[in-house]
Amino acid sequence: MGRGRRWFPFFVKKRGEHRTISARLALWLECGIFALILAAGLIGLGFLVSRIIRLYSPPQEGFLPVWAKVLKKEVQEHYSGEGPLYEPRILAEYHLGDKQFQAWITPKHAPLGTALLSERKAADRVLRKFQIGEYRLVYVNPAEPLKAELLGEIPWWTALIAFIPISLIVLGGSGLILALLHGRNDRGPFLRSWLPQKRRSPPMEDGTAGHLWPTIPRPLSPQESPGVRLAIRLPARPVGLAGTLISLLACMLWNALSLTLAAWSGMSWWLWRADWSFFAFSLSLVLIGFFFAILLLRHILRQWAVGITIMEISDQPLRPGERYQLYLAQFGSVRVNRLSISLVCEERAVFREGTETRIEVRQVQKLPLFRREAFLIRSGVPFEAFFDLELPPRVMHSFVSAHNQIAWALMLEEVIPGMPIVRRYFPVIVFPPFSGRVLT
Amino acid sequence: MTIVTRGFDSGVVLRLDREHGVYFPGDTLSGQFYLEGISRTELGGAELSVLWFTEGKGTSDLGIHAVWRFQPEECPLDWRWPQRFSTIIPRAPWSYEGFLIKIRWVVRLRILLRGKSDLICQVPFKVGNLPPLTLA
Repeated sequence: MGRGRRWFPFFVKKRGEHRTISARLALWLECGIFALILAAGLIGLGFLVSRIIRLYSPPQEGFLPVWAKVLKKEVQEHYSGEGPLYEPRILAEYHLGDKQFQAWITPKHAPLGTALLSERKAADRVLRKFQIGEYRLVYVNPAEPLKAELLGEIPWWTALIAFIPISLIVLGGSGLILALLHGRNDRGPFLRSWLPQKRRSPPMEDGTAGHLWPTIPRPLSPQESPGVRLAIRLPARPVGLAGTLISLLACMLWNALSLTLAAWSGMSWWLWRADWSFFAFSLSLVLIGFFFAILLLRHILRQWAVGITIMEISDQPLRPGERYQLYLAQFGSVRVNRLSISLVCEERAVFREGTETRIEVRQVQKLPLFRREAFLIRSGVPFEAFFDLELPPRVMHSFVSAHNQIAWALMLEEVIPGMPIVRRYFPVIVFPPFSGRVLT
Repeated sequence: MTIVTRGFDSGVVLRLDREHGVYFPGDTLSGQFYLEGISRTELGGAELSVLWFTEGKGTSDLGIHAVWRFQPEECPLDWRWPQRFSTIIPRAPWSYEGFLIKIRWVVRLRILLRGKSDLICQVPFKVGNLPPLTLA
């Protein structure tokens, strides 16, 4: 997400580069809207779940569950001022103690528990779910044994209704998290207070102050990130931890809800011969969640389960025409088809399209440094290699401005059987040559 | 390297001393400018700046390395005669010809005229001698 991007651009109406309302207010409003969406989703889901629980709960305290045999079914007509109403009923036979009873029972046929239907076809549809001679679980009042109630069923479209609050929860929750992270990236005033302050540039190795290089990022010093084999250990570029975390939460939420739904529908189908199509539909939701979980697992495996990579360098910043030594240690327990290290240069441009801020990245230079094929990395025994890097004399230095960046990095590419190519980046800083002039 | 910008009845001449226009960090960039056909009464001021800017896919960024402002009241010179300027080229950024990003250096002269639109002329120059990138 580029700097300055807003989900609701009307809060920060742009006129070119100018904004009419403060970014702080926009962020608060954005967070407020997502919080409202999240709250609406939670309230909606809570209402739906409470209705379903009520449908499956015993009608009153003290009612006993007993198995009843369906003897007969019929639709009873009622007449009112607005026309006829239809009540589907079944005649059930059950035993309470050593006595046998028969009673007419009206099944609940919707989460809202309506008893009378305005259409005859709807009443017939309710009764089609009951077969003469089959057994159903009913709740009977021991004090009045002829007063019995049948548990309701969840119609298949309840799952569709459930999608509305679930979607609101996912949208509101993820939007809230992204808005807060976005605010963190923007370093908005209200978040800035608890965020670590940016490093101040200490004097460079040639005695000049860091602010004399305003367009070149400051490199890590050996004191800040000391290496074990060589002077400096290079940190890896983050691999979208926030995105992975949000995906993981969404995946867990989806699977928890779909599994719960499948369990309910499966139980109702098995115990009370409820609508099998609803069970099949909920199973399809479980399968989607399972597929989503596999994709996410592959992503996590690709990023983290391969094993950590350690990259160290003899000196930094890099200068064109100079030679440096590199150390690589790759941990894990895996067979590697190919492992290669290259020095790459990327251009990153941030630009606006309408009210959106976009970023485009392009790799413009690649210098192969090291390559090894077909070998095995054993657990606890890292693959280690020392190799040299000689920076060509005529290359551009690292550059950063508000919307444009030229970034150099050591890129590790690992080809492992059965997995997508693993790529890891270790940013390095390239300075202009010492003398100011370059060889031609 | 000389650039001449002319209006209907006036003109600006901006010239760098180094003809090929290639400089390296630490070099002295120097040049001169003068005005033709502009009377003192219509001259509102002038601003000379040495700056870099980006071109390409991204939103353009700009960095000013040096700037001189001239007010006729404070600087009662005859601008029909060459006015000299000089500065030391900084170490970064270098001129760059990439795919998404291009970094350009220019000397820009802006003449403010009373009752007329400004006259702007600029002379490009290069910092460093990096070759343009080619597709691998």
